Amino acid sequence: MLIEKIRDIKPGYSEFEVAHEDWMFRLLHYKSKPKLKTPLLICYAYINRPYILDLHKDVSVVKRLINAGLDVWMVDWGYPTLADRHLKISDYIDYLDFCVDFIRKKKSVDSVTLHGYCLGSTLSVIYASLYPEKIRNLVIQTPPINFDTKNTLAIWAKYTDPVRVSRAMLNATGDFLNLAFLLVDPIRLAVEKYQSLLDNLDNEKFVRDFFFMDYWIFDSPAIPGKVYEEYITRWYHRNELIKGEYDVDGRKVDLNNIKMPTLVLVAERDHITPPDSVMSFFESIPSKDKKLLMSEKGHIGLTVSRSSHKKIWVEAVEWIVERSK
Amino acid sequence: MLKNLMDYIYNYRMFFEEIAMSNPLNPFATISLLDKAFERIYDLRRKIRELEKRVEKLERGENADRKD
Repeated sequence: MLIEKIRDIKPGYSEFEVAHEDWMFRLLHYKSKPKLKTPLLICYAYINRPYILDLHKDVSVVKRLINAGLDVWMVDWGYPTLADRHLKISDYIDYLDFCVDFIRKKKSVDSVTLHGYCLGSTLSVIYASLYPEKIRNLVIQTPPINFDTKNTLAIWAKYTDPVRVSRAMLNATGDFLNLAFLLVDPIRLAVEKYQSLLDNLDNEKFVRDFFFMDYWIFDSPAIPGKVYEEYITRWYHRNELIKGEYDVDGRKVDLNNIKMPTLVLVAERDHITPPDSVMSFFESIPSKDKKLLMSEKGHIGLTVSRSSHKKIWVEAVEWIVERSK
Repeated sequence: MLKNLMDYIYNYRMFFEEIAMSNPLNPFATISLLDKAFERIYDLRRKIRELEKRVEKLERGENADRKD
């Protein structure tokens, strides 16, 4: 019976405690016995949920980091409601700063490793530019920094009027965002995907992986209306970040401050943030210790495919460990 | 098409909000009123956070006017 195979599916493998909570933002601390000095803070995107990095035992990046002796923390941006429509990107940066200070104080260290994923990478790059002294290593995974790319989502975003969306729907809801993601490749994502499930119903591993992923895909928080306006207008329409024109509450974000060791993880077949969205950034930052690891997977496959865990994550974790002693 | 749909949703809501607000027996706050209140709450939260930071700096003996 199909239901027997998926009854106990609940994403999130590693145990954590909530170290701090501020309204809907939370700072999570994974339980472990760390051997390395520098803590690692994961900053996920404000689209979808961060447990993709800890989806299940076989493909948990968090577990891999913990097993390597790292002290792992994670920011959870929560589920914005109508009441959160007026959040701004600067509020996210502010909470990130709070989290970094919280960890520095708690662990008695001067700096942390900041690991951003997708739009969390954009936040991490902004943060590392503003507070370089607090960041020992910067790890960015499938990062959108240059928003002037030719992928379908970027082209749609350039022709979207975010103020109208925010005015009408107040927040860019999870359903609205999911519809956009599905329409990028509707036949594959709405038909072929489910056809392959029917074809593999006898394969328990396939079925469980499928539902773990589908659970995550449709667990979609809204983007607060004002964040959506700023993100589409200033990043997609004006591409301010890579041009050096972006500021947070009047403080200029200067990418020339990225002098700390930087690891960039890129997915070759990424249809959300293609390699073009980070190449110019990678080449231009002044960091003398920078490395780019390219996976042949897609935006999510980089994190959840078993082959990525055998190759790219082994190398990535090694890089982090060497710089966390 | 998306622009027209968004305008339709917004104007449809505003139409009913106008009717609701013009009725003295209406006991409910509209989405627009709540939205305004939430905006003020967030502005206040930011001011409180800014003050907290300044207090922390003063307690550490730093210059509280510095932005960094």
